[in-house]
Amino acid sequence: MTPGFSPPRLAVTILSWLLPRGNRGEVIIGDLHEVYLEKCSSREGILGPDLWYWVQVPRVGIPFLIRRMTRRRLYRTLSESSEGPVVDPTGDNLMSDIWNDVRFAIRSFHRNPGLTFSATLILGIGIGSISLIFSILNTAVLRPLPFEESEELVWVWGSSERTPQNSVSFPDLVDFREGTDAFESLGGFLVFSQTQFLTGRDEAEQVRANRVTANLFSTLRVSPEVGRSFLPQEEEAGAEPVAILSHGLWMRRFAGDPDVVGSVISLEDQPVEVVGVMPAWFDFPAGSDLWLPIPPGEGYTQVRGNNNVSVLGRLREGVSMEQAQAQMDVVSGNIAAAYPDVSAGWSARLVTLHERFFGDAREMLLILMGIVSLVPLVACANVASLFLARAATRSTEIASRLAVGASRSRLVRQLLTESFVIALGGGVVGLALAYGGGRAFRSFAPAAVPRLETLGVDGAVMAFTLLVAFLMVPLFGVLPAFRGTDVRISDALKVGGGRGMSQRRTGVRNLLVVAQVALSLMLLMASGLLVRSYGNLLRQDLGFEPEGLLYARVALPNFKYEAFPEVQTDWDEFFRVLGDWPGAPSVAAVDRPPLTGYGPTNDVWAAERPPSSAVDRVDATRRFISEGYFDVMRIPLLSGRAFQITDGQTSEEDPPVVINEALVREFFPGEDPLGKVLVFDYDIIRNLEIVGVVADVKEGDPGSAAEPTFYLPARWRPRLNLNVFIRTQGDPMDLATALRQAVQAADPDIPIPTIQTMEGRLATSLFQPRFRSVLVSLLALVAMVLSAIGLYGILACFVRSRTHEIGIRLALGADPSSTTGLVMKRGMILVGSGILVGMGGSIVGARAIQSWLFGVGAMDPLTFSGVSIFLTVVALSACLIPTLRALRVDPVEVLKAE
Amino acid sequence: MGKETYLGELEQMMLMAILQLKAEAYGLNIQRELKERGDRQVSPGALYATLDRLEGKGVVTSRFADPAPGRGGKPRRYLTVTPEGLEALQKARSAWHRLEEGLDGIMGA
Repeated sequence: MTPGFSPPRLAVTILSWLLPRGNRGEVIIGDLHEVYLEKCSSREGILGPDLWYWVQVPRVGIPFLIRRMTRRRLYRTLSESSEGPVVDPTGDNLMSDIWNDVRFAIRSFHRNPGLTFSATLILGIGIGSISLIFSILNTAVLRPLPFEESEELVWVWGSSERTPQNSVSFPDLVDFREGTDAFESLGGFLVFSQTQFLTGRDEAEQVRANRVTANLFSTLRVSPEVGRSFLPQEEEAGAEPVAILSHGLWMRRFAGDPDVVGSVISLEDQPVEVVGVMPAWFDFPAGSDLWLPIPPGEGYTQVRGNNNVSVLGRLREGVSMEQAQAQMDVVSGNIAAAYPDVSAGWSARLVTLHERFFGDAREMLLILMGIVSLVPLVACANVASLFLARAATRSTEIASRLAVGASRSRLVRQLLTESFVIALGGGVVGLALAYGGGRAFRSFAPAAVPRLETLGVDGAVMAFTLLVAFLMVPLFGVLPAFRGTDVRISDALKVGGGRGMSQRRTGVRNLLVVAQVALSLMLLMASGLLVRSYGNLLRQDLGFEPEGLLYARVALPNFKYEAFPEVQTDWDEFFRVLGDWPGAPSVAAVDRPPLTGYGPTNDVWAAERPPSSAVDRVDATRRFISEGYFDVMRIPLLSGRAFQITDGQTSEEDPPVVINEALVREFFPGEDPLGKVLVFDYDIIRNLEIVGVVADVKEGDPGSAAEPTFYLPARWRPRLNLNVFIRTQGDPMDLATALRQAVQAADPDIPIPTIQTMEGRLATSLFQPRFRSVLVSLLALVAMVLSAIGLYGILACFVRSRTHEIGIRLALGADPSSTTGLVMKRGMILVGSGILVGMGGSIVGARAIQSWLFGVGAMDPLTFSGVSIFLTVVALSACLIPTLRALRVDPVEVLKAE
Repeated sequence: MGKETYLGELEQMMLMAILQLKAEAYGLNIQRELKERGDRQVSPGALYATLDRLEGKGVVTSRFADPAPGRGGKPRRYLTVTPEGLEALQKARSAWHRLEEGLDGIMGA
């Protein structure tokens, strides 16, 4: 038996509802449970056990349901034919009435397939749009973390006014452990993963190693699938080096050989013993190929203020977040008091681990869901309108049924059942749309959304869709059901009766059109603002020119290349070879490329104004660059000079520095910084002479504000890993293959993990705003088309009901344009009211997306007026056909009919 | 039994499967037995419907037993063929054999 697995709970619930009560049903559920477990353990079949179980729900359940229903109907038929009172032994004939209603509904859909089809489709679009967002939300945010008792896991931010969410230093972690008892354990890992070379067995491979505390895995309550976790003594000085492999690396490099545990592999040419392999699902910190203990000593664990450790902990049972936070406040207060030069103004803040990883995505998706929920509302208003129109044409049928003795409540129920069936159909269409939309989303979304690979339609999405579908019934079904059965029998049954709509019913339909126009305007507004923001982001001055730039990450394996100074010769040779290519492209390099995020940072200050305490220190982003960097990137040099080959020649001397405008604003406002000295805390205090000022570059995402940044010559501290930029005239990707070949020819051991155009990189970093504006615009258009159809419908009806009147007017010599004016005026009143209401709604709603806007205000008058005009034009064209029809009314025909 | 009990082909197969399985005759195993020995794939819906029908005819009785752990705590329904069932089955089989007599040349050995 396989413990731990159980069939989808929702499926079991549905099934037990369909099956007979008591033991007879339970037995079947038990049988299915057994097969389910067998499928789980044998992994047979291409379909997962969960899907198999879902398939069994209708397969097993529906026959039972039908049998139950037909048996009751049979019984009723028999007892009705006999004398005496009708007694149904099952005690409910509601069920069979509903069954009757459903069958009747399906028959009436057959009579009117066009209406059924459009209503189902419109509802489906409404439901599908919100289900899609829900499925993303469900995958990315709502599902718990995959760790045992994951709600006990918390994340520790080091927090100061300037950087509210920072990592902490190792000595802080030690103090947290000693000063609190709220945690079962506190573990951590180094912020930056290390790229290391795995050699031996096959060719060299670059792997991502994460340094973790020995207790990190036990804090998460995850054990290796083979071997063991790290031991406490393995993070102490002098311990033998050990490693734990990821499942992926184990399969890829060691073919899943369990004997690898206990064997010695070669990392960076050092022997390291493998002690375990983590399970396949475990990927934390994300992208790890292997894990190593945090090495004691060095800069890693000794220096307070070297904030390179991410800390997470597991709360002791029964301890609340508030209690733990209170303890952390005491400890961090003590730390800040004891080390004012590095920790003043600093504190530790707890958030749940879930919040840490999914908080941002949750906020974005909830807002998106709020916007998208307008679409089902438009759909409801639209379908309600359709149903009202149909109720008018059905009034004869309804009246006949009332006349032969049907009660009104019975008829209302009949109409509501029809709405339910349509809603169910809409739910199915919506589910299909959510599924298709999800697949499309998955194929073009980058890593912007967590856990995207598991996106799909599961029980929760189905339940949500069903819920939305049923919640829509009161919105679109109730009104038509009550209005539709409110007929005066004598009027409706008269020949030609039901030609005119009652004034009241038109009033309701007018309101529905106003609602649709208003909701569409709100959606269009949101879309307009998002599209403008996206456009602004695209036009945003990045500080460099991404067009024509090829970007490649090149890593010299350090088991072959000396760190420095010799490696500089290799780089010089590399650049010389590239520069000799046809077209003589210009080449430069940097340790971290733009658009990847600010940092790593160092404390800097102006020599003439040393800081009095840690609060006054400024974290500035540090970049190592080759000489031609500003030239190749086309970063404007504002004053002074760029680096030359003579800068930073010896590692002992302090090199010159180039700073950006943001740094000038921070330290030298209104002054000429050239020739002044920037102090830089890098192992020891360095005094750097400022030789140049460059424009701000977006190191983070394009919408972020520029942060203080300073540039040092790469020659001063030659790097093994560089990001190489090549500027070309043509398509940069043309050079990609040549670049790969050149590197391979020089040394096959040099990997190029990344090669792409800088424009491609820009597109990736703009994914979220692009996704939001595309999605909202698409839905806004759908909503607008729906409301245009709704408007068309009501005006067409208006013209039809007034044909008689218009004919007589024309016969009496009225100007045809006066009749068109009549129709147009009516249409415009509806559109105008809708726009007014919608504007009110937008003013309230725009605040929600304030944080997504870039370079445009939430009340942007241009967007407001543009969107209103656009909507008015579309609405006017929807009025056009009914207006023309009114013009074509032939007075002779009308009077003949009289 | 006042009336003659008539058994359909699937019903006969199912009775034989129950007899084969002896003490292990419950829903799933019967389905498996039919597939493995009888080369007959039965949908769950048909399986449970037929079992109910057989019980209604009085040819099998069922007993609910031991809510087992590997079944989400749900009971098993064990089936036993009644003497009436055995008799009806024998009748059906002998009718079968009588009709088959002399048809060896056509039906194959």
